[in-house]
Amino acid sequence: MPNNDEVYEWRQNNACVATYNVLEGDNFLDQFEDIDIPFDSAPDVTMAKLRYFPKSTGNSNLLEVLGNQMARKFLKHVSKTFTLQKQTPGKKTADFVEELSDVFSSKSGTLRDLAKILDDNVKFPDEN
Amino acid sequence: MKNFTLVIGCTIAAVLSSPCLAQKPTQNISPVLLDTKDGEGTTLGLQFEYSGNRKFTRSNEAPAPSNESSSAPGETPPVEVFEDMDTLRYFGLAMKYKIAGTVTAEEENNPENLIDAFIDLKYKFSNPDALGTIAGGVVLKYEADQSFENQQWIYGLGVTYGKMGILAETDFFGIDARRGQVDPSEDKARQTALGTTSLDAYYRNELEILYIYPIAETIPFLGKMANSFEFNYRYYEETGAPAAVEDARLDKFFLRTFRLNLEHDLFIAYSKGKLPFDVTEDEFFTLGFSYDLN
Repeated sequence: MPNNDEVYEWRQNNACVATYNVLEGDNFLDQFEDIDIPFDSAPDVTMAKLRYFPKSTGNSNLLEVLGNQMARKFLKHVSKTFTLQKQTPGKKTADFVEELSDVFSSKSGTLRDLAKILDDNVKFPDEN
Repeated sequence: MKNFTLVIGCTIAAVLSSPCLAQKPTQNISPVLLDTKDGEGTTLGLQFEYSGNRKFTRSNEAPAPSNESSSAPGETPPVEVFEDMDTLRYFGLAMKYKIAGTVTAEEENNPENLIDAFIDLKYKFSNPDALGTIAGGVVLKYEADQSFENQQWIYGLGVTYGKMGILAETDFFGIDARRGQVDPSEDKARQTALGTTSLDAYYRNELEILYIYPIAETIPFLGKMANSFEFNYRYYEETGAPAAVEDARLDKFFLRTFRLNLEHDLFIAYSKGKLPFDVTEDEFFTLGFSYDLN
């Protein structure tokens, strides 16, 4: 998860909206309903609250492969809307996926954490 | 054993000396209501976890452009995009640590009376959707019950496989298998069964299977009440166990759980079986809610 202690501002930018839409959308990952978690209330929602996260086990090996699979799904859906242009030239896709995997593997990872990683790694159109 | 130790030592050195990603430690405490058939009614418990990791990766993606091929001053630099998830595959090496468990006010009422802590080193192979993710490596693990009257160390090898998107977009099947040497420094039940306070190390196989089905994603009208269904199965087996251990039924342990995750963080779960350090098999329902203190 992001190590930076500075709190990432959840706002109507491409990174936050993409994070929210991909996790909420019925045609994407459908992890919650917008009526239950509207956009403004979403940043501190944890992975443990999402539908994919297991509650019957804390086996970190299983959580790790689950988080990796979820991270790949998440990025695949984000890439349907945005070109994943690198914010930092030379950055490896594998490291980007691993950063997301850590959040998706963690009970305490949040939507804000995911949006921050997206924003740190992807150069969105609203940043040009 | 010396060769085994050398490999671990080299791997640790490689992890620590490479540019790597470090995960901020996870800290969680969740209250849970437990009801055990053989206990004395319902009891409040706490599930806790502290974990983190360090890792580095090697992937199949094209290398970044060299300095010589980069754009001249004034020219627009070439646009670099991340690899497509349909083609990306990579290896990762990670070092992880964790301590987790469930405690209750009265130990005899705790149907999940197992606290474990571990450090492990593993390779991960992440593939495009159809193949899933596989990870394997070595682990050093410590297990105890909540009173610490029973404790043991485990050293072993393990492999984990997981795949999402089998019957639905986000359903998940995972299997975790490992074989390790168990060094029971304190194990009251085993000491009683063998009639000695001096316990020898033995080998144990462990298997855990998890399947999650996203009800709300596939059956929307049920999604108003139920989010997901989970099946979890844990199995522990001692190989070549002494007859006394077999007679005391301390050579095999299993626990299977069916869990329905409802709206508003409520859940209903049914479990049957026992985990290491439990002497009797339990069959219990758990009704509860999940609350994240972070």
